[in-house]
Amino acid sequence: MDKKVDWGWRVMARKATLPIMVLGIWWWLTNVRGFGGGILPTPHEFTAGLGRLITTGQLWRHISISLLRIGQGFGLAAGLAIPLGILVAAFPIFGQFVLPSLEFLRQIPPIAWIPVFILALGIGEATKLAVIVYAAFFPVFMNTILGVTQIDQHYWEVARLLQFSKQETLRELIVPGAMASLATGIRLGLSNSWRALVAAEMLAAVSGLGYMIMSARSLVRMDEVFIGILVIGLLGTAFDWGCRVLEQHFLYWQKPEEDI
Amino acid sequence: MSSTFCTGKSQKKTSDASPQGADVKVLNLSKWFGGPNNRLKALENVTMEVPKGAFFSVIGQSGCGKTTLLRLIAGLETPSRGRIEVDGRQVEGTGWERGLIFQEPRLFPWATVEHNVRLGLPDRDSSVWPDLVAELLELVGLEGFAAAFPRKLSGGMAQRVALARALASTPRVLLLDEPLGALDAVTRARMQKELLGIWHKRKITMLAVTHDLDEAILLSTHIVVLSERPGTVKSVIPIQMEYPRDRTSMEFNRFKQELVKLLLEEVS
Repeated sequence: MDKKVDWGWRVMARKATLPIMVLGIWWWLTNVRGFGGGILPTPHEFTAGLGRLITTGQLWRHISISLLRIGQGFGLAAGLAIPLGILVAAFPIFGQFVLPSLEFLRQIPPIAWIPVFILALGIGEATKLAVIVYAAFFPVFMNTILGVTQIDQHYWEVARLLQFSKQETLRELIVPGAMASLATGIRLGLSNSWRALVAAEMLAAVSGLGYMIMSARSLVRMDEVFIGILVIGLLGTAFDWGCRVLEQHFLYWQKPEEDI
Repeated sequence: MSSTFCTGKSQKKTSDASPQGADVKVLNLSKWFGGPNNRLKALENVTMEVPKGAFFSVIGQSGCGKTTLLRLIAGLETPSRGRIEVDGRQVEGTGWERGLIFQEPRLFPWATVEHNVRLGLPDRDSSVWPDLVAELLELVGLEGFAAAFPRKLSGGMAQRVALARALASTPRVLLLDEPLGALDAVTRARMQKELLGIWHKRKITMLAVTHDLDEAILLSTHIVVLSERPGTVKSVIPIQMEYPRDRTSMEFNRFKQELVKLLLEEVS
C-alpha cells in the first residue's frame, strides 16, 4: 500500500510538472499556432463550455446519473462477490464447481456483452447495471478469495482453540484477515466498473457522462467532449483516492512497512 | 460466570473426582503423517501420566515429535493410534480445559490487546468481560496496554498477552510449545519466573515442550525425555528440588548432567 501523501513543495512541483506542460502545449497549439480547427477547443472555448454546462445544470445531471448507476451497480456487485468469494475460499469443493466457469467469464470484457444485454434487458437502466456488475464483480471476487486463502494457518488454529462459532470466525478472523486484499479488490473493481460504465453509456444510454460525450460528438461540440473526458478522469481519480483513505482507516492496525 | 475465575475452588472439587490424580493421560499414543507410501512416523507408543498440578517438561532432539505430542493433547491433531484423556475424559478436538501457547504469540494483529484476551474467554459476551480481561492483564503485568495493538508490543509482551488469552478460560492444563524460545535471555529469565508464579498461584497442570535443559530443570517437577523419531518416552525424571531453583547449584547441575547423558546416549 502507499505511504502517506507527501505535501512537500518539491514533490508537489514534480507532480504538477506534466499537467502544466500539457496545459501550456494546449494553449500554444490552439492560440499561437492556430491549430485545432474544430478538433481541439481553445482554452477559452473550453472554459466557456464548462460554464454553460454548469449553469444549465446539464453537467451535474449527467454526473449524478453516472454516480447513481455506479453506486447501485457496484453495491450489487460487491454484495454478490464478497460473500461468494468467502464461500469459495472456505469451501474449496464449491470452488471446483464455479471457478473454471468464472475464470472463463472473467476474460471477456463487459463491453462485449453489451449487444446481448441490450437484446435481453433493453436499453434501460438494467443494461448499464449489468455492465457495471460484470466489470466490478471479478476483481472483488478474486481478491476476496485471495485474501481469505492467504490468512495464516496459524490464526485458524487459534480460532479452533478458542472455539470460535461460525459467526465469530467470520467476524474475528475472515473479514479482518482478508481486509487488505478486499480493499484492493474494491479499488480495482470500482475503477473497472467506472470505465465500463462510461463505455456502456456511450453505446446504450440517453444520460450519463458517456452519453454526454457521444451527443456532444454528434453535434461537433468538442469542448463538451473534452469536458466529459476531464470529468470522467477526475471522478475516477477521486474514487481511487477515497478508497485509499478508507483503506487506511480500516487497516489502521497495519504498519506501513508490513505491507507487501 | 464467577466460577470461571475461581481456579482454587474448582481445583479442590476435582481433586476428589479423580482418584488416580492424573490430569493428562496419554495411552499408547502413535501419530504418523502422510499416506501409506511416504509415511512419516512422528510418535510411537507414547504413554505418560501427568499428575494434577505437576509441571512436566518434554525434552528431546528437534524432530522427535515433542510439538506433535502437544498438538495432539491440545486437539489440533488426531491420534493415529492410542488415546489421550484429560480429567478422565477422552480428548476429541480442542477444548476450554486445555490451553495452548505456541512458540509465536499468534495474536490477531487487527485486534487490541484487550480484544485478543477477551476472545480467550468462553463467555466473551458476559457483562463482566472487561473485569475479567483487566484481571488477566494485571496477572501478566500488562495493565496499561489494553488498547495497544500487537505490533506495538515486544516479543515478551506479546507472549504475555498470549498467556493471558490462554489463561482466560481457566484451563486445567496449560500446554506450552517452547513459548519462550524466541525471547532474549533477560526477558526469558523474567518470563520463567512469572510462569512459575502463575503456576503456583493458579495451580494449573503445566505441560511444556522445550529444548533448553536449564529451563526444563528450573521449571519442572518432572522431565520427560523423548527418543529420536519416532518419539517414544525414554524416561521420566522427577526433579526433586525446592523452588525457587538456583541454576548454579550442585544439585541443578547433577540433573543437567543426567539429562545430557540421556540425550547423548541417543545419538551414539
